[in-house]
Amino acid sequence: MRTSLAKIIRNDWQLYLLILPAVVYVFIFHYIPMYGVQIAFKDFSTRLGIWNSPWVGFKHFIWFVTYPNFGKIIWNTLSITLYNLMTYPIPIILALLINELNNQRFRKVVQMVSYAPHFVSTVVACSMLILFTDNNNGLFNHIIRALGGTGSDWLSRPSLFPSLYVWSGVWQSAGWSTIIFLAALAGVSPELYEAAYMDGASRLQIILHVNIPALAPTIITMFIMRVGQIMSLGFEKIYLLQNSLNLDASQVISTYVYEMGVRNGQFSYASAIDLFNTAINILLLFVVNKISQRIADVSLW
Amino acid sequence: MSIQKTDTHRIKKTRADRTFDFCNVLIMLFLIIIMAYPLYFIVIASLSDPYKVINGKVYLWPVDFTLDSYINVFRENSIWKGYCNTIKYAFKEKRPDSYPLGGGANGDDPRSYLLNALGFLGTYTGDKGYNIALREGEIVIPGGDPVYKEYLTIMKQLYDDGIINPSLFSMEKTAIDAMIAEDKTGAIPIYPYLATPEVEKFSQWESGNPLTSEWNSTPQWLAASRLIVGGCVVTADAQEVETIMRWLDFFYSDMGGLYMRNGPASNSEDCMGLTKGFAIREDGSSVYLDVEDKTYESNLVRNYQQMMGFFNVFGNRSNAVGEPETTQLNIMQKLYGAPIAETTYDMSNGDQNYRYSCLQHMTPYEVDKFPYIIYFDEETNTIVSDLASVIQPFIETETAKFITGIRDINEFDTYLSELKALDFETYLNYYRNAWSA
Repeated sequence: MRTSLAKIIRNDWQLYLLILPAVVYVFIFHYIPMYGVQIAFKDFSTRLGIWNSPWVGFKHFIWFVTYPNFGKIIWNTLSITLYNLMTYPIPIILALLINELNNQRFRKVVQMVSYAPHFVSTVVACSMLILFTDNNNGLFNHIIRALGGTGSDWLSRPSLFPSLYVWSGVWQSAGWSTIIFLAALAGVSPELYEAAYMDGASRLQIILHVNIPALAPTIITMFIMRVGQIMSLGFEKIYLLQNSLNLDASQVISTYVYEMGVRNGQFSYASAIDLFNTAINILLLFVVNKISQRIADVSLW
Repeated sequence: MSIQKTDTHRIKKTRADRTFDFCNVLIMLFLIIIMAYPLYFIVIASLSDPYKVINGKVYLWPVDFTLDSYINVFRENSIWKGYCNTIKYAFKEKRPDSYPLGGGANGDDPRSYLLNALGFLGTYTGDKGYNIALREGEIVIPGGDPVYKEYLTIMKQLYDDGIINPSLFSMEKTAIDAMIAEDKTGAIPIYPYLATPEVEKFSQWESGNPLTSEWNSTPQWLAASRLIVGGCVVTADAQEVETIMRWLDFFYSDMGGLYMRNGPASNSEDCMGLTKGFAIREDGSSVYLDVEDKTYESNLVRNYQQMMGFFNVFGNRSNAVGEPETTQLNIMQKLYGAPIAETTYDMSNGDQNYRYSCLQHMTPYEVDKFPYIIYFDEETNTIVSDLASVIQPFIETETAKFITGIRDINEFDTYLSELKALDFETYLNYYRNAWSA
């Protein structure tokens, strides 16, 4: 029997009221401004405004794809984000290990210290990185020299750039990302542990067969969401770490968009590139969601 | 949470259990150090002398404890850097741990005067080789000129000999300031007092003449562009266009610019009885007055000597050495009715001594004719910026590679042909056509 819409809302009106502000916010700030996306298909000029600018169809997209450095910047973006994606297991492992700590006080200390780097701003983190990797004065090179090697300027080497970017990102975000996994782990009933222990499982086996399956839905969901950000590499950190010598590896889509859109004022072009990125992201999101639905019965929708 | 242990049924841990726990705790301790040390470092770095921080001497505790970073020490570096494009060239004896020609891409580096010596007019501090310059009256881009090879050879020589800092391309401004403060560098690009507060160190320094070389025998230096006070757009819909243009003509002139910056002289009719303007004291410094006769120190007192040439000492438009009447302070003195004081320099002050020396050495060689601003229409602008976004990083990276030795200097011709393949000629021609048009 179908209940009418009014009845549904009336039954649970407190819940709908609770969610109303969020819906309104998303509607006003994310749905309404979508009309501006059309400037990706127009030649936007501030003089004419959005509605009066002439339509040019796919001109900007074609221009972007035929840009000489197109291959390089896409390759740089993809390699850095895929590298980033590969460090995805680190917060999971960390959460599992933290979960195994027996001393509660020590565990709280570890958790607090690991959350702290998340709050350091990008600018400060990049300045620290530049200071630490300096050839003459940096901490890392001092350590290398103390161990007998020769120091070098880390930020000048394009081959090191993705690693520096990704691992400093891991430093910043690993602790914070463990929160959600620890929350999932806290929900595992102790009976499962006792049963496993009675059956003679070692610690490692307990982790493999009790903890990880409990985390599986969370892991997959978070992974799907990460995949949906593959083409969007943040701008700030790359821009701060760029210098003349590592441009080969550090020119990515977002810095190009900055140069074209902000420095050269080509708003339509920048919008087109962003639309291109978003379209790819959404496509990937759908694909991965479908795959995960088929395989693991876990999906975002 | 792992298995609960109650007192009555104490479950004995196996050896495997204990090893696991031990390793786990070790990992966690390592993690704590890695995560916490940088944060601790931030705290102690904020309490230390900034120069010691940059030079890498701060590890475990604050060095030269100071609270200055918390008290906002305001220096006008960012404003003046845009205008003061000078390189002071004073060779120092090479000390093993110093870099006489310094080296940081954003400040102290020898590139601009080396390029200038080779005949490129218009290069400035931190020039990476892709900005336009004039060579014998024609627009060129140094990065694509055959003479660039000589420049690269010289730079590579300096780099290999340790006269330029190996971190030339990755140093930032604060690191350069730190090196200046520690006497580790011999050339600074901007006025002394902006690099370090200890200006007495520079009281013996002299500026040099523009350099020449076998590829360019006339010393020449770019004169400064006029002070830009802003832009104005007048559309076709404007009414009273002629009045508007007259106003603009006035405000973009010397006198008008002065009015816009300082307001009228307080004893002139222009005040119209509203609020008072500026006044000149006996010692020649200027102050601002308001309606109730409160006085405010003008920062012109400190800045007037920089403003001699509207900011660029090498390209000294107002020729403080030759015609004092046209400097900003002198115009103000005339407006106010005060006697025109001679611009005096206190030679014992390192900063002023250097400025005077710059004026004397560079003014005779100024060249005025330079395309400061080039206008493209919208269509061309898109094409040019697109080309620029490919060519500029290319020149920048390849230059860095040649200088640091990553790429062999004999491959210069290959580099030139690669540049051509990137549509370099078209790019250059856009600029040439725009200027001659």
